[in-house]
Amino acid sequence: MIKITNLNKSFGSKKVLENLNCSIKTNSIYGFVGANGAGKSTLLRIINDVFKADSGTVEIDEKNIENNQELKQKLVFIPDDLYFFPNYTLKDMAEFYNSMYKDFDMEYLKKLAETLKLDMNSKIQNFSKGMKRQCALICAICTNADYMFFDETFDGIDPVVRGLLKKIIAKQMEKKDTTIIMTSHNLRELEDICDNLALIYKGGVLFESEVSTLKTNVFKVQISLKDNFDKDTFKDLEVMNFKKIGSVATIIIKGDKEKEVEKLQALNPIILDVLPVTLEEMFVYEMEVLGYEFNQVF
Amino acid sequence: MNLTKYFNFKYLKENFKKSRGILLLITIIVPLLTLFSILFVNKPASYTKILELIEISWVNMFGMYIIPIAISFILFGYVYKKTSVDFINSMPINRKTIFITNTIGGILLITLIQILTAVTLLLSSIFIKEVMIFTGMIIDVFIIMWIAYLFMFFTANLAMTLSGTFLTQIALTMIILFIIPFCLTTFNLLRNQNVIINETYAEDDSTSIEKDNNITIMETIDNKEYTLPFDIIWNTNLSFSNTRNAKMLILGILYFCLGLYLFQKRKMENAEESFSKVKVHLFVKALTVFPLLVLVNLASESPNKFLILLIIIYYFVYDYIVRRKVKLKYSVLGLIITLAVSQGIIIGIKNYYPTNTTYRNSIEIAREEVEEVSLNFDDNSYYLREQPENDYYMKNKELIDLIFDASKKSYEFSQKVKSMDVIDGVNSMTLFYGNFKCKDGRIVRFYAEILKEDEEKFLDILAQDENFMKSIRNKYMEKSVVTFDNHVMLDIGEELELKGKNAINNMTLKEYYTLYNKESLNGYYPLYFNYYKDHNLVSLYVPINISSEVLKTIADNENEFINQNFYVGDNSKGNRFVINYGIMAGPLGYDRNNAEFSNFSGNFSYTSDLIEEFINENKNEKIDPNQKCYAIQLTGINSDYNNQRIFFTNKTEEIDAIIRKEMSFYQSINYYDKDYDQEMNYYVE
Repeated sequence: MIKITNLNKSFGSKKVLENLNCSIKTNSIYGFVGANGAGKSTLLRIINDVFKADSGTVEIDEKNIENNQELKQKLVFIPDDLYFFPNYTLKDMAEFYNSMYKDFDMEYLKKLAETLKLDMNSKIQNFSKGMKRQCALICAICTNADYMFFDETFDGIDPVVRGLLKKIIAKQMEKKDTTIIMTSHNLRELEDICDNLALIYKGGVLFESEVSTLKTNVFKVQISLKDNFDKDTFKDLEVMNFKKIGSVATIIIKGDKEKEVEKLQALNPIILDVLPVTLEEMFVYEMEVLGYEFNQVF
Repeated sequence: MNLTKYFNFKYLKENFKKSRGILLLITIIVPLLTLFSILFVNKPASYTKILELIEISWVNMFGMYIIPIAISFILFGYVYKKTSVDFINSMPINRKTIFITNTIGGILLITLIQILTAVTLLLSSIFIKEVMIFTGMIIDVFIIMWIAYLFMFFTANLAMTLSGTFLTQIALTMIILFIIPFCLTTFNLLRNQNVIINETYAEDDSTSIEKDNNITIMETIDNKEYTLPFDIIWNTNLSFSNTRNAKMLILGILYFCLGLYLFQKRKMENAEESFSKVKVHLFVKALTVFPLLVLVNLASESPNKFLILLIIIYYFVYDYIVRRKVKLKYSVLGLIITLAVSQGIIIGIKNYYPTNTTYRNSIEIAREEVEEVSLNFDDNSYYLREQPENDYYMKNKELIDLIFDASKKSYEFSQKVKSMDVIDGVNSMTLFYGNFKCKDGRIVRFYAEILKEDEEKFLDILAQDENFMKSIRNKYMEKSVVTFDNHVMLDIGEELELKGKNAINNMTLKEYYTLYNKESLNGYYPLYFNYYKDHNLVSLYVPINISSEVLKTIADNENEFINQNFYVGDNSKGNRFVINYGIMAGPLGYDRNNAEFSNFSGNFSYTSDLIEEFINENKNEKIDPNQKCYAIQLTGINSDYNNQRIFFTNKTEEIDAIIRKEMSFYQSINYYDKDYDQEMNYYVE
């Protein structure tokens, strides 16, 4: 488990993280979302002991990460801007990881490289952006670290390989109770893989929730009633958003879907369509409930 | 104890592996260039040369400024790039381990470089017959350079912990190394002489005898021993100093500890920017500019505007290279403050210590105060070569009076004669030095000169003092001198060297011991015993009248190499006879310092055509060993002979005629008529 308490970090006069608190359970995929410059990457760098926090603590498995070499064996970090030693091949990089991580699985790496059609003996600098990221990801996965941190995880990777990588990550979680921490500025990228999502805004966690809870508890309906109606007509429901165009209203409702739909049917609607809600929409509405404009956050 | 907490071999191996090409180059470049310098710069064409410390280590010395910083950059350079900072610092290795591991790696590399360089020097000495390098000197170079490289490496690492770019690291390294020595040395120079960048200031003591009974001895300028292996900071004279070595080691350890602490605290987010704060950046930049401004200001009365402009351009270019985010107004403000502060300091120093004023303390010793005196003769050899000190004190009033009187006379002579040529060529002065033991127990070192005309009297007094003669003998017979190195060299104008000739070594010393007399003090046949002792290359000058037996032994032991290259044409065999009969007296050109064994000292300046023509006509002359023979040193007369250097001839009368012509040209200039007349008589008779 990762426990972050009152984390603060400034770059000069600019505050990047401000009293950030967060808990990440083991064997889950945790996603940090937020606009560029929100502090996601800085947070990951502090968790991985790349940067030092100005104040606050990061505890992993109840141990402080700072200068803790043994604990760092349990972590692997793939930053947004990748780095490979000049003229190194995937094989060379794997050997480097192998020399640094006790549990590195070289055979598995070869297998993954074959699956992803990455030439082990070609210089990485000649690879495309997506291939470079694949190299970094499979190297990280093969460390068998307990906590894997991927910053802008699938940046530059095509949808097919992205799907493949998601499977590989899922398999890794099954294999070793791994905890994956990802960041992205794109919600859609994380919605089908993350168990938990946290929104970082102005250096703090603005909103945090389990994706499953979000998905089961929030739904969208399009409704039209015989009589004239407004938002107050639905005061028995937890309405997150109400928009009415003509005689049709679109309502975002929070609560048990079946029960709430039953309540709506009791109003004898002319039209009642229950529609799926994207994670992005859920965030929009959650933010609105919290008093933020979504455009401010992203 | 878990050592992997401090040292991670796998990480070091990978760190080396990623830069293996450049590391290989760095490792071999110094030994390789040292070898090239010996082969193509220091190796003489036709004789064996004893190489000085600087000659075998100048490549290493230049490398000292580049290689440790390069190693530091290769090992720690990742801190200057944000992507590599993320990559390396997220690895399961903490900063302490990284710092210690990389430092050990650097130490190993530097040690390897110095071992390879020492081996190169050793093999050069063995296999390149034209050069000779003393093993002690090689060991000294190893120690000096190993410590200096380590010191530079530790300093560069310390600078790295504070810098966000490589250029800032270089600037900071130079500041840490030089800013304090620079300020103190500049201040010291201003205080003492107000002369900047003038190496002659380093003359040790100067003695002036302007009054009849007093000798004024100026105190030696105190050259503080800073770090790096040089006497003074901008000098390139390498020397071995335990003080400096100790300072470098202690400071090196201190820098390592400080570096380790700062590296753990380092703000890695500062990569790609000089420093986290603009103020620090401006301050460091000002420190790099300050010495330049001071030098430009002090170098001349009116500072060179072009140089000032260059410094200002550098000031702004520096921003562009190491930190682009500096606002122009801050930079301009910084420049104004830097200029004002440096100018203020310079004006202050200049006013406090006006130009051309010497602030060295002087000690005035009255004749009556001196109770005893010890003496050494200067051999006019290169200043690095030193004679052993003679600590025998003479309580001789006549001698003390003579030193005072003769010194005053030579001082007045040197004031009267303007041209150093005349002093050297005609009435040369003998330099000697020693210590006065005063009645109040003080011991004061002095340097003095006496004219040739007083030398006889001087030598008479010394020769009568049996104990003094014995002390000189003992000095030369010092056991370590004889056994330290089997190297003896008979100086006949140029260095003729014989290696590994124990027999000659012992024989000449034995001979010397037997024959030592008054003439030996002023001997025409100096022997140089070269050895390396107390970290100095010593060329022990033994003035001696060598018997024909010794000369024959030397000639018989000459190696083929010397025979083949030393003489012109058929003259090669003549040499042996000449040496056998000890008739080396003859015109030896050019080298004025060897006046004591050459009767004609000076160039054939006006008769060079004649002497060249003579040599060309007589180069196949067979030398008759039973006849009088002249040896002419060929230096700069004709480039064809430059490598052969000595020409022997029995046609002495023809040479005398050319010398007469040369002298008459001198006379026509009418510089110092009386002495030239004497000189002419002396030579031509």
